[in-house]
Amino acid sequence: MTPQDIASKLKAKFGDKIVAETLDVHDPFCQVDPMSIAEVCAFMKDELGFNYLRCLSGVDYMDKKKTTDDLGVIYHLGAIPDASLLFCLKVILPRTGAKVATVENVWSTADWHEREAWDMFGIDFVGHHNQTRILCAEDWVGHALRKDYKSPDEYHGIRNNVV
Amino acid sequence: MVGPMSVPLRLPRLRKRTSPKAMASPANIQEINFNTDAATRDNVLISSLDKVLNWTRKSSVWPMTFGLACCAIEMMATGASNYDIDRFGSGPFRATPRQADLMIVAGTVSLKMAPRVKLLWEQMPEPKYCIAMGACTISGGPYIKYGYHVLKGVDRLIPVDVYIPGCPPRPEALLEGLFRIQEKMKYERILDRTREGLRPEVLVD
Ligand code: SF4
Repeated sequence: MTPQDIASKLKAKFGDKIVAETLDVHDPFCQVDPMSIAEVCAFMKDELGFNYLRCLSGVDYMDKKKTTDDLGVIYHLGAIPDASLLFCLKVILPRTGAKVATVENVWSTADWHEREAWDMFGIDFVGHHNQTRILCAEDWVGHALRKDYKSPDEYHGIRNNVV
Repeated sequence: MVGPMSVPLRLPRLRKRTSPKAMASPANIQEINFNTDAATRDNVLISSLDKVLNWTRKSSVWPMTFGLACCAIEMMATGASNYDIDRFGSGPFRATPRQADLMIVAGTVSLKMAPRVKLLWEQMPEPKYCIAMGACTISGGPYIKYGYHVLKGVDRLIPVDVYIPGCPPRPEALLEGLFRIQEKMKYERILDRTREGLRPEVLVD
């Protein structure tokens, strides 16, 4: 199944919920509407055979000139044992109130990945059963991998500034 | 006891107007001979209490099992057969702070971990010593600038006796750090618990 096949099947099924597609790159991907990502993923798994979520990553697309400040989530999909079956899905989210549907009911491995994306980027996974911080302390303030994040000068009475 | 065990101790008699210098002159110092019989020779040993205590203490340093990151791998190597920290009177890594008297902070201390490090340190009984092993523990190391949640030096939290730089330090360096701790222990005084008379913090390089 070529990336073109996958993209056309997705578009035939979901229509305008597939916002954009880029297929002539190393990792071909489709950009999906954030609230429809769960159904798209379920379709990918059940109909197209992507039984393996290789990685779910949060991204901060803010650049130095601040031309964009969007956040994103990227889903790298694969299959076992057919290692040649690879595809990516992508959602782009506004910086404030970033919300995307959870896919933990499709691949349960997404549970911890989504908690990490919440912890580091503040992306809200709607429907996640336990969306709490996974790496930082529970009382941590802010989301540390956002590019405009400033680490606190003090934490529980411990100095955290550099000098 | 009677007989040979009663060792005649003849100490210099204090006379009036004897200057300290005259007191210390060889003529006034009388040798105490304990070699009078086998029982005395084999059973009596004279030393200062400080020396004996420090010797026992330095010959059995019990570190705490406390690996936080990659430096802990080197600490494990130091404990394993190749470097064999047991040769030097240390090495039973304790799983509880209450049995340990040396904390080797080996690795990156995150801010989430920092209050726990402090708690563990406070649970250790005195006298206790601390080795900061590796760049992370000394200053935050590779994470000093962009590590948003890395403690920038464990000495912001607990007193450190010996710093061992390196990323990670080699096992030999950790052994050297242990020697410095042992050397420090030699200067402990039982009546001086403020640790003021001790040698200053040392750096293994
Ligand atoms: S000093 Fe280097 S080796 Fe040691 S914990 Fe830090 S990064 Fe790891």
